[in-house]
Amino acid sequence: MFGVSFLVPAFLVGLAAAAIPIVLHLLKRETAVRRAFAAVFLIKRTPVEQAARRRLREWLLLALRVTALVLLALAFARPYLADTTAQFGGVTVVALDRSFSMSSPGQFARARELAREAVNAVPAGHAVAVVAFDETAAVVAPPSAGRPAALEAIADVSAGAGATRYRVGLSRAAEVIGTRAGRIVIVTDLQRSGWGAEGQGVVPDRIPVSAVMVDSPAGNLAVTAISGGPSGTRATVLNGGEGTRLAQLRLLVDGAEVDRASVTVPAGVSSEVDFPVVLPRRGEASVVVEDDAGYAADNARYLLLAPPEPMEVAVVTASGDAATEAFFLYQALQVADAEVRFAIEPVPASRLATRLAAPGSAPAVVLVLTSRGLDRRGVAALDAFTRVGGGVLLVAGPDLEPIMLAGLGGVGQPAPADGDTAADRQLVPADGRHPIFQALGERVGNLAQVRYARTRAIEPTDETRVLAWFSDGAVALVEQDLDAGRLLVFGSDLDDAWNDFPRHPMFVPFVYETLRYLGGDRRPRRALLVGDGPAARVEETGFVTLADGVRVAVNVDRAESDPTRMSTAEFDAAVAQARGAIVAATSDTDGQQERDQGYWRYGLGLMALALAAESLLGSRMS
Amino acid sequence: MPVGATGGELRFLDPAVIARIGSIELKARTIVEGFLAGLHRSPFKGFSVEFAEYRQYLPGDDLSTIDWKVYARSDRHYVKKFEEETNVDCHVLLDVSGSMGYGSTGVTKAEYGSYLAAALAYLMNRQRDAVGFMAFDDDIVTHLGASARPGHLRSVLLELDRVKLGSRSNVAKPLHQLADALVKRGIVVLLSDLLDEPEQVIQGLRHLRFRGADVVVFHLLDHDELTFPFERVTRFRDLETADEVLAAPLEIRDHYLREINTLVSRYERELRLVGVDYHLVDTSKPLDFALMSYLSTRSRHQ
Repeated sequence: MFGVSFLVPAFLVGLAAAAIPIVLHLLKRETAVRRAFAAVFLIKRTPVEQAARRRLREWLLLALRVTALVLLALAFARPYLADTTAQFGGVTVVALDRSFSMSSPGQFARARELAREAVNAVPAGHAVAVVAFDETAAVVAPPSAGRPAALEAIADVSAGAGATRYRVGLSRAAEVIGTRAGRIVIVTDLQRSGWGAEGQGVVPDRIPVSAVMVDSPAGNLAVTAISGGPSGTRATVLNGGEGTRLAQLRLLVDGAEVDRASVTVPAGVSSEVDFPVVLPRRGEASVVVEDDAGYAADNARYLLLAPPEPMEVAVVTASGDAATEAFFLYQALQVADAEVRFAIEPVPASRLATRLAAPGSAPAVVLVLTSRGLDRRGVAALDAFTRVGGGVLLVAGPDLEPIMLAGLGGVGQPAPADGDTAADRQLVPADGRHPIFQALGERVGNLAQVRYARTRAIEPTDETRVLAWFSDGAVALVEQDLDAGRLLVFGSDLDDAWNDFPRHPMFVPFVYETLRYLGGDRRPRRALLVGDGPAARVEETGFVTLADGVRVAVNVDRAESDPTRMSTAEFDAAVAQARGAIVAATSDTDGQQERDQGYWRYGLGLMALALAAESLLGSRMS
Repeated sequence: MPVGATGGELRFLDPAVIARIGSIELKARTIVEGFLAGLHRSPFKGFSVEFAEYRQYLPGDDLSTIDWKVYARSDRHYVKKFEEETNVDCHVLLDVSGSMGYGSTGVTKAEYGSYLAAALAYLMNRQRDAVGFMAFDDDIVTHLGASARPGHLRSVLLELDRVKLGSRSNVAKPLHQLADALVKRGIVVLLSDLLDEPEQVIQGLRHLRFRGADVVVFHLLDHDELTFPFERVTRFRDLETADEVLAAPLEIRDHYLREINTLVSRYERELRLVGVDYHLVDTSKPLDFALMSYLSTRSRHQ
């Protein structure tokens, strides 16, 4: 496919210089003198290898000199790997959509047929390549002058469970064409959802793209959601067809059918179906819809049933009696809903260092309410815990010594011993888009109902971010990233001493979201989409055990279930928009081109080696 | 170089100068006279002539030759004249094989050998020793028996002048033949490059020693053969066999020098063991050294 060509072939004339050492060598050979001598028999006694070895060395020297000159000429000629298909006048890439929206009965066979026709229609003199794509793209037939390879590759492609990503396919096809002339023929169902916002694919302006449309199925039913509730199980069914459909659904738990339901779904809309079945806490549930005409991959939706892992929260108080010393916080954490629960671990301040150093699972979050009993080791352990990824909330209430604030990542300066009681203050979020406040949604405004009688003065630094202010301009909540961990400092208390926050409805959500933010979502993912995966992509739907032993439910991208198609004109318009990001791709191409043309460096390097070897050998012969 | 010799006298011992002198007889005389002239000024007293007569002192005579006892009796200065004590058969054997034809300084080894042989014959005749001569290559080419007759020297010199280079050398053969023919103890002088099988050469010389002869070997080698000064890649052709060897002298020099030194060392060591006077002669060097060596051997023969 690739051959060596030269950017400056005129320098190849320099190859003639290789004749110079050859001529010199031959001339030198002829200058051997003849001499009559008496003691020839003594000369004969010298090892015969001497002459032979010298001859060999001379030939080696000659070869090295010729090699050096040849390499020099080749280096100046700037060799590069050129696609030999360039001589055919261009490359036609057939991009074949293999997403599951191409999987309705007979649809992909038709797609193959159209792809073969596209290959056979490529004019003589053009090379042909085949790219198969869904969320990813692969070159299944590299550019070749022959058609059989492309036809065989098309026969081997089949529809999968991935979603359509036109940008990915077109980008890969454009890469195959590279800097040569060429065009792209995309064989697809023109599904509208394939032009999602995501994806970085590009198509250069000079590469024409023509679409060959494969007919979509007349209709498609898809289960797009499944959820369990305290009173039953709810599934969502999408009718992607043009007419109203009666959807027959089955609910399966651990592979056994437990219920059936049916629902009439109007064209182009989703309907919810409730099964009066309460799902078990553990197991595998799925809802399957009967649909012989549509796509098979979206006929089932899978749900892995597993109780959420509680987030471990260490509550540091003076004596370790969190239920008493941190009454309101303790109660707030107890009322968290079923999805995310907190495992509260009361820890006396004096034993914090021991607790954090103990082998086994460290808590996700340490909630520090007091500094009484907290020694230097405890502060150091807290600092180390934070830097390795832990979350810490310092509640700068009456029990926290100001010096503590300076001991953890230098957050703030020592605050006055007593807060300012001059006026009641309100808490105002600095950025409503912060995850803590964003999770509160519209309720975030209710935070202003809290009256803060006393606060701690916190001095923000360059390394901290202020998340909330008090209405008097003092800092209410600051955040600092400490290596892999995160530290929050709340400038008042959370136990009804300096404010009435615990008696407001926003207290529990605030504490809840703050701890969630600090702890992060450390629970293993229970559900993946096809194409996702923490390490390797999952390609099949259903329940899958990953390489790390985690059991997950794998579903298709629900957007792919909508067979709504675009017109060819709309598709062309979308392609035109995709050409916008050509600059990035061009730079990649330029970089690749530069790499392909960088072989002269190797030539010069080899020439230097040849000259060094020549010098070494020559010095040994002289 | 004889001790006390002047540069002008030495000039006549230089092989290149000798080569330009016309007849072999003149060459021999020039060599010997030049050699003796240098010798008279030396403290060397050992050459083997005995008292023959008195002669009245003339200005210029060496004072050491004045017989002071005669002076005491006659009150006149007389110097002692010496002559040979006994007649010795001296055989000069000259190798004229092809390898002796090599010469890098204008004088081949064969020419150098012939000069040396002529000088030796002249010197021997002057001392009234019987002189014999044999030239050989792989066989005996010329052989003149030893004789002290006045005209014999001329015959020897004529043969020396007439001798031609032969083919391959076989040093041992004439040595054995001469040893078998020896009827009287004498001195055998071998002039050869000894580029032959050392073992056979040594056997032949050992045969001569067994027959009671004092043997002097002049191992004549050219300066090139001793130093191998060549640099360019050379195709060496053997003077005797015409074999050719292509070699890079720079590559093989060390090995060659080791070989030639080994050969010389072997001759020197083994010939000394059998009582043969062995002298390595660089043919680019003057001839006096060879004459001195002969006289030294001659004195031991008395």
